[in-house]
Amino acid sequence: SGAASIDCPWVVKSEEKMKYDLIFDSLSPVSGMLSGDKVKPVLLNSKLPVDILGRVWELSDIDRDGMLDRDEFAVAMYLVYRALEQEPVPMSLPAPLVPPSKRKKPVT
Amino acid sequence: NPAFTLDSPLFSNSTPYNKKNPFLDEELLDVQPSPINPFSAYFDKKEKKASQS
Repeated sequence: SGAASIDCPWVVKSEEKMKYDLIFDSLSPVSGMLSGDKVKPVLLNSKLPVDILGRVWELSDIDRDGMLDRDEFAVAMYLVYRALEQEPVPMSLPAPLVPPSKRKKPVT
Repeated sequence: NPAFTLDSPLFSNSTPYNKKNPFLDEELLDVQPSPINPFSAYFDKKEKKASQS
């Protein structure tokens, strides 16, 4: 099933991505990255519980460097909006949510 | 005197998150919400819906 995920489209639509990119840029990223202390205050505005937001952060920080780049931030925003719609935050990141830039090349 | 530590067997099954998670980091406990609120439009919409019904 892993191979199939390479080709599936990213669930973040380009229209949404543009919106999230604007927010990303307004937070003055350094070298294209936002640190937790910049992302946290924004996500707190969603009024979601901190444990939910903590899970969103862990799922979004795909390369686990403690920072969010543009694509990872879009994943975080997507998950927060879904959570606001009462959708449960998944325990692990579903393949269609992994940004194409972060997908592993198929192993042959 | 912490109730549990990171090497507790309770956590051995899950992948530990080594890098700082700003939402679970005590140093960032006092962070206040940002004036940048991408969700305000979302909440406004909800309020309008609620007041119409």
